[in-house]
Amino acid sequence: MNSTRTSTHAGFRRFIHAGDSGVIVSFADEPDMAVAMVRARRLATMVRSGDMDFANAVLDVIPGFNNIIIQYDPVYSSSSDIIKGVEPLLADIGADELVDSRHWIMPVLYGGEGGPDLEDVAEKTGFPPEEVISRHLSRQLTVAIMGFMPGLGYLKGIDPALTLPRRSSPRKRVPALTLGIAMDQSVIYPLTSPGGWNLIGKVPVRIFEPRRDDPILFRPGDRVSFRRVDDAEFTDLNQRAEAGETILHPASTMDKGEG
Amino acid sequence: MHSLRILTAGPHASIQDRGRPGQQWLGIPEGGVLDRDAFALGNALVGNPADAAVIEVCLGNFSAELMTRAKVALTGTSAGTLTVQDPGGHSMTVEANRSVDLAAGRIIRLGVIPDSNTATIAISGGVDAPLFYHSRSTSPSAGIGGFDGGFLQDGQIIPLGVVETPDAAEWMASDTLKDTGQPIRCVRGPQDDRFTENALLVFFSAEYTVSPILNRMGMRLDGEVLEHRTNADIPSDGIVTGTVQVPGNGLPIVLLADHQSTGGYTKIATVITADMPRLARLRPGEGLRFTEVTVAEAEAIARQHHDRLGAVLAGLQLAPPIVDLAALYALGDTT
Repeated sequence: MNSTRTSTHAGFRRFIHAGDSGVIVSFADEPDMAVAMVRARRLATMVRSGDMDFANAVLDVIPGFNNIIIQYDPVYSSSSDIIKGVEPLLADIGADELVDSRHWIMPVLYGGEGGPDLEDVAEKTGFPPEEVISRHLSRQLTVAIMGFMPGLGYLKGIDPALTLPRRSSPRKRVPALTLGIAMDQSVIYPLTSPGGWNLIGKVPVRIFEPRRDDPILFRPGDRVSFRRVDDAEFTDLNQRAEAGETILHPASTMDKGEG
Repeated sequence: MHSLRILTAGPHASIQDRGRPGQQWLGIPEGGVLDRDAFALGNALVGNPADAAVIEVCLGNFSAELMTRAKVALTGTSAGTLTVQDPGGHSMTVEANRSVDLAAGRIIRLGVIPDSNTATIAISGGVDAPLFYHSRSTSPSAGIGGFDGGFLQDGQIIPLGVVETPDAAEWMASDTLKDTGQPIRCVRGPQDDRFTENALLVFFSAEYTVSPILNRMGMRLDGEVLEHRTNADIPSDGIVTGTVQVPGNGLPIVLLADHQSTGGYTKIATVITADMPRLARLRPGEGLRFTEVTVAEAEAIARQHHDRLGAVLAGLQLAPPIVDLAALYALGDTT
């Protein structure tokens, strides 16, 4: 019986097996978590671009917070092929933020029926609701990973003063396009679903629309800022989105800045 | 009209094919049939391309009326049978793992499947659901795929693909790749270091029972609790099908085709790809054990399994005609 750990160290990165269909490249040993996250995103982009040996063996590249998992089919390739293909990429991976990520400036209607937890968040953080909103508006977030449901991005980097756990009892029904916060992150629910985040607003942009050519708005690594809109503008944007109009375009696509 | 009218969908019947791998980075589940062996065999038996969409049935209690001539095959079970009823009310029994050529107007019925949680009904022409990210598979938890993103409903009419040159040949398989009783093979990790030595010993030796909480996303197991070194939380990372996740209560959950693409619980082990069809056949209340293999062993087993499946598909034989006792008796009455 093999009892050794199925992992290999190489500096601050580690290869870990996920059965016979996944190789995890982990940056968890990187002393700086922010660097680990950027490296994971950079590597995911490089592997996805297909510019590596054994690129045909890669079925999917799924970013985690400080790692990526490369999925392969063991019938036609092997974990050693994947590792051979990835190792040269790791040699000069760097730690600059991605240059090809897009920047979205997302309109939000804060509070009211669409953000039923705004008062609660204000109470728990000790800020007036207006300051909760201005603090949420103050940061540019990054789509660290996606998951839970189609198109849901975990937007990392909110003001630490807004850090709260998820609600102790999740709601059975959170309407689609509700904006929530928890921990150091924000999410927008793509679909109506159960959910445990603190709900502070709603957005009119369809972040998941199966009938659209590209159904999903976010990509891992994209940057997201928020823009406050009033009832009238929200209603207008929402009606246009409902009619199938594209109401949000990336503000930039080649911005190297880490705002 | 090339279609099938669902009479009773039973619990959780859905349209499936191989799923949509490659989209998990966008949060879209891989999805697809729970039992890939049954899927491959079913399509081969009815003469379909390997990627044609089928009906995946959970537990059974499914019936439907063919609105067109078609070949049908039930796979993923050895003991289950299809009952075929003609418009005159006569019925005949069709064993699993063979195809049968049926005229329009025939009703097919599947009772409770005695030996499997899931089974596949393949129909010649395939189910003609719209493609979404290259697949017709339904992932009901994400509301995508199939016809409306959900499970099949009673009374629903589903279109079938057109078979250009239908023939009457009926086929059977000699081997259904059903190895019962053997432990389910796993590679340890990715977070085996978050568990105590004892937890790993227990996981690879104790008997677990399939819990009634079983769906296309995951199979919960009841049995001995697995102890974490500290806690069950990790920074979320990507997940492959077969991952054995252990949340804070210490009871393992094997993640199946519709699992979420990322998750934040420790994973003690990962079921090897070759054993996923066998796992998917286990029913609530059934017992199972896990045994450990290395990655290299698992990859070799995957290739052997693929070759064995290939040999089964290449070695299909013409099936003997079904003796339709009811029709014989009916004939007897008139002479």
